Amino acid sequence: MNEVSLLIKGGTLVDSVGLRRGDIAISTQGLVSQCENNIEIASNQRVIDASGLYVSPGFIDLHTHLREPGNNEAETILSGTRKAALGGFTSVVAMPNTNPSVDCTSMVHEIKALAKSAVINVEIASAITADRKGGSLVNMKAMADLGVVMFTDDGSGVQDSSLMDKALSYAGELGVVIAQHLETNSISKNGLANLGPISQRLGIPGIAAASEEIMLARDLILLKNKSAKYHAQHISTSGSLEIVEIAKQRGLNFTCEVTPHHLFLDDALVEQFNPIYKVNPPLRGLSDIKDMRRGVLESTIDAIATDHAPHTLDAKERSFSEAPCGIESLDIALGIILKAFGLDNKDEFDADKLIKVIDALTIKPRNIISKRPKTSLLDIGASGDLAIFSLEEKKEVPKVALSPYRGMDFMGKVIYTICGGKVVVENGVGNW
Amino acid sequence: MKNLISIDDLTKGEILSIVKRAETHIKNELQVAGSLGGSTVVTLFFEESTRTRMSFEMAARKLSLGVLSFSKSTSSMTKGESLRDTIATFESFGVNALIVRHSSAGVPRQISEWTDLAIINAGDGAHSHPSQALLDIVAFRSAIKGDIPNLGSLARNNPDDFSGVKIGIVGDILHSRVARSVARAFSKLGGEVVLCGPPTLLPNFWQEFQLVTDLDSVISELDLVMPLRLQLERASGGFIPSLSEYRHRYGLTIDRIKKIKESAVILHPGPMNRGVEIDSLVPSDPRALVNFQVRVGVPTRMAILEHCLEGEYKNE
Ligand SMILES: [Zn+2]
Repeated sequence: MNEVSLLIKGGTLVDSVGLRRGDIAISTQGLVSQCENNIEIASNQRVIDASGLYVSPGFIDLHTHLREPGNNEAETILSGTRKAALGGFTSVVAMPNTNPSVDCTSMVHEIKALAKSAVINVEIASAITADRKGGSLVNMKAMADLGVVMFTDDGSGVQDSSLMDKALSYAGELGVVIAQHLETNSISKNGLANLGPISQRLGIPGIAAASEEIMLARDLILLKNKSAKYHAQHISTSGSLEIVEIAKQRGLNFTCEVTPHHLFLDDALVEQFNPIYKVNPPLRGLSDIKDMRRGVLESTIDAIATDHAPHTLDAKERSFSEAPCGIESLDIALGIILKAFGLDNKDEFDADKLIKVIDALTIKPRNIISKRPKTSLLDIGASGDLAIFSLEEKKEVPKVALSPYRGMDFMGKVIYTICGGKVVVENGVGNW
Repeated sequence: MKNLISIDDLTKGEILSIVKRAETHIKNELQVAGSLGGSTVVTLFFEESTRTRMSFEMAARKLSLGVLSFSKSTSSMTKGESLRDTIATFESFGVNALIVRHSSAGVPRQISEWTDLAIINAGDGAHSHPSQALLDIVAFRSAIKGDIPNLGSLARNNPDDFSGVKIGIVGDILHSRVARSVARAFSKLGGEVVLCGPPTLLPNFWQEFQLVTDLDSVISELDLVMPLRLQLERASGGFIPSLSEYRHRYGLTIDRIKKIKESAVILHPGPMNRGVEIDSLVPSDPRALVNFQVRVGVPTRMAILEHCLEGEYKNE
């Protein structure tokens, strides 16, 4: 039996199996070696007292913009993975829209080298097309062989239907995920905010829900009779949810994600014309938000992914039309999500809801990018990646933050993040 | 100091106070208010508009204000500089008000978050153009009060309350800051606003005002008809089939204005596309106040500057 180096005692385990008391032992190899009640403490073990805390598998973010290389001023792999660790994430999938974009094996090598600075696992996504321009396919097999888990032109959708058809055909046998940023450029055009009563009253050019929904429907039509793993990124409209529901009911095999901001923030916020609320897809209406929440609870939506997209202060202090799109949320995602589902309120606590939400942050995203789906991430032999959090401690967002969440309090604070058996966050503070 | 960014910033009382002040300026053009002497305003035009800029600058000079003029096309100041940096520069000069025009909706509102200077919106994207709406009210009230010679009897009992008055704004409502501001301003004074245009150019999610696609079905009910300037590229953009089709359905043609009430008024925010939204001879119709509208621009902007810089002023 492996020697135990770390023992997490007295916590409430939460994962797809359910909610239960249990201890977790992690071996010196960084793997889960025991997961049961009342594991006895031996000498030479570090013991974390998790009583009163929830212990879940480490969170996995399928959609992270780490900005390195190209915009290190906004974020680096080091700074981004630190924020992620503080938020309970032990793996992030780095989006390829860096500068230059990740679209060839040498860039994959470069990201791997840069990712040595990371405090948690960084999975690599490549573009689908050269330089994300939508013209020709990248060398998918060569990059899949290097461990690239996902292909996406994120920031843009693949406009050319024939090329998308070929990408899905080609990727089928490689076992990699083809993920789509759902946006039909001929519809979204110069749009800056959700097309609806608010943007029209304010005179802000609108982005119709159809921009997202047309591309989603098109991709699902192309996916028929193909074995590719297709993943719809950041869906945001009631119409998209309906399309996903219908397609899944008909047995089509694919996955989708929603962001914390599309679960929580609505388009009335753009009334201030503050570019901190500018994001793509745009913040939608209250009924869309309601449907996004329902989608997660009914498991129609598979994963919650942050689309963490940092920018410099300078970039966000431009006009609403010139400022770039993006909202940061890695370090506070848990609190936002708990609040969105009313799980921050003790009186309304609902164990089933918590399990659904944690699944959408852990096993479901893991199974989307992994070749061998698992039924539990706390099994013996699993990687020692854990998030240990409190539902009763506040996480505060500073008033000055370049964030739509500035000045807000969120119940739900990550106290420990353990990655590969290493304690990277301790008492809510980075261990670096 | 007060901002004027959108008509929503003004109460009904403030709107009336500004337009009445403008009317006193119209009546005695030689009077120069001296109380604001020493203040300086900047016309900060990121989007060029010679007419609006000159109108504001003339208004400022008549009030003995100092005037600085900035335009993006002739300045190297904005190269690589963020909007906020540009504002900080002007703040450091010690000016009192920024008169801002920008092609992006919301910029004056954004700027107002960064500075205590008075911000006056001279037009931002499709959002707002409050000075145009206020001068349109001044022009319309002149007609009501019988101040304009040769005009038929748009005799109203009360120029301070537009209840019972029906205003039709016609054309590209979707992209028009003028439409948004005029609709708000006239409805604040009690008027009933109808927005009329092709379905592709109407804001059909926004249900605050009545939307109508058939101009001929409402034109005879209107007391004020305001055709908007049609950007000629709307046809190539697919919003309308052609300019001639547009003229056929929405143009104020000689034939169509026969259906407009004798007592009604035609205003056009200018500049006009003659032969598209308005036929060449229509501006000479006695009901068209297009020339008068231009003349009230400077006095109205004087009143706006006084409102924003003084905070409060006494009429008469
Ligand atoms: Zn995206």
